[in-house]
Amino acid sequence: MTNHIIEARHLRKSYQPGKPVLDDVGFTIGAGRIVGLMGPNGAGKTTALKAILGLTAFEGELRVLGHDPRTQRDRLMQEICFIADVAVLPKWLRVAQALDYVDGVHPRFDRSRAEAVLARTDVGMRARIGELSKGMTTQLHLALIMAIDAKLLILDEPTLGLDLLYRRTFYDTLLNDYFNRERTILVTTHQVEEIEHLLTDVLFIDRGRIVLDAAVETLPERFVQVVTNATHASAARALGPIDEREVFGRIAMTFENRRADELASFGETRIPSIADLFVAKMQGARR
Amino acid sequence: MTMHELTTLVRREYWEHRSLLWAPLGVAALIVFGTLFGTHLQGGVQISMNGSQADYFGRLATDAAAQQKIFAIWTAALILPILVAALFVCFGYLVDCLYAERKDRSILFWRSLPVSDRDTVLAKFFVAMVATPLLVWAVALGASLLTFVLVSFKVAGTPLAPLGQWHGSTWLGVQWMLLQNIFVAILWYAPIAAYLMLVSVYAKRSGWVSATLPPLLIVIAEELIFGTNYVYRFITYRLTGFFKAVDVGIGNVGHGASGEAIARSVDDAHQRLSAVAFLGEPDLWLGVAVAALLLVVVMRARRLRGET
Repeated sequence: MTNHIIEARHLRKSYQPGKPVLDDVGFTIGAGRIVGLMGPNGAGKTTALKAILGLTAFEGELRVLGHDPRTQRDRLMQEICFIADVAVLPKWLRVAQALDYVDGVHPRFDRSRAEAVLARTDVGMRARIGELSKGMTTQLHLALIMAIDAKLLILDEPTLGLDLLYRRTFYDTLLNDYFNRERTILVTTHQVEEIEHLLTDVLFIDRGRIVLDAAVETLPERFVQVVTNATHASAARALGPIDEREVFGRIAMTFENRRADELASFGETRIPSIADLFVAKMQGARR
Repeated sequence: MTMHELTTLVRREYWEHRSLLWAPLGVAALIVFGTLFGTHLQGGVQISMNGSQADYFGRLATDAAAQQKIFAIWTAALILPILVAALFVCFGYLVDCLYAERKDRSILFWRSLPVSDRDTVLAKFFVAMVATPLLVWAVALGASLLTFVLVSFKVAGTPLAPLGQWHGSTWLGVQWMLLQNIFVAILWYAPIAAYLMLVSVYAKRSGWVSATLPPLLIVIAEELIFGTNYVYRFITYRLTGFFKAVDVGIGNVGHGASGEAIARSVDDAHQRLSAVAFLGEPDLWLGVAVAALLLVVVMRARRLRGET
């Protein structure tokens, strides 16, 4: 119990009656994991994060680092690192002031570390955030994150609206310089390809429900994809694929809990990517 | 909240709302420069007095107690324009302080850091009701010293020379009394500050309009429907009550008044400098209780308004 960083059971939340944003959501996240919470827009990702951060009311049981976010939010926020996405940094604030402020209120912030990260960039300390380019704002965001020594880092769509170069740098820096066995990262995104190579666990959420909760290393045992043709399609379909797509005249089917040798006779088998699984699960849920 | 956290939260407010610093400093600068470049700069002060004023200043030259009184009055009065300017910028600050963060969505950033809504609200209230008034006091203190030096140079060798006489212990006493007055003013205006924060936390559009329009409409409605003006009187009483309590006006001493009458009027004004007696006013404490209640509402409201 205690080695779980996050433990959620029966989370429910709805803004309008009969339209739940979180519909009996439950999951656990262990220490040292990098978890991708993925789902289409409006699936409930952000609401789940807000619940974890004590930023919204909900029903159900939730422990984050042993605290209840509803009643112990202030304690909790001291132990986690969450810098809301860069778009909400106040434009009038100067870079040096941002560092002063976080230094003044966050007990785990190491100012010199943030300064060291910023020294490698073009971000001037006197500049106002409103004057920074999007790339520079991201560097500031990253510098703030890197300087907070917390057991749990929460990132909500951290690279939204950034070009490929910055997105890559962001995740590479995070993985190389920040992550270690004692730290846990929970990241939400709808750009699955972007982060699939760095995740240890995936949580897919769709219309308020968890549709997949798995460690990345277990995915090959659980999912297999076969690329077949029209001749074998109906036989393969009889085994109940969770998703089927036509690609250049060939048919790619994704199966859950089927062995590759069961499917080998229909065509070439392979391990689906997380992006493939994401599409399969989301489309499967809609059928 | 530790001292370090409080300092950080307070500094953050002044970074965003620089007028809280510049308005008191600006008015103080105007007072000092006004004294320096007043119409009678060259060759000291030109005096044209009628008989009774000459009579009064004649006594003043030899009467130390009377000198101290008039010295206390004019050094104390310097704070008033600075305080009024600060009240205006504080009004603007308070109606904006919980609205702007929602408008630019930076509330999401502030709430992603370990600062509770309670501490945020208290820090903002502290800035308007403690830090800025203390700044006003310190700025007025500096301005009174500078102004005194300028005045003493100008009146030297004129019939007004007694005004340039330094009274150290009186000056200290005045500063201490002003500090007490500031404290009384804080208590008196606390419910207004809390009301403005409440408006700010709920405002959908400009805080100024949201803060002034509802009371204005109520006043007009009362006048139209009942033909009475209780709400208007209540509001003006709250707004001006403190300044009525510390009335430093030397009264209406007409041209024909005798030196005796002027001296009496100065005595009266000197009596009214301190607002400490105002602490005995039940309305003042009632206001403090209302302010505390409103602040609790504001804290809860910020939490709810921060949710989307």
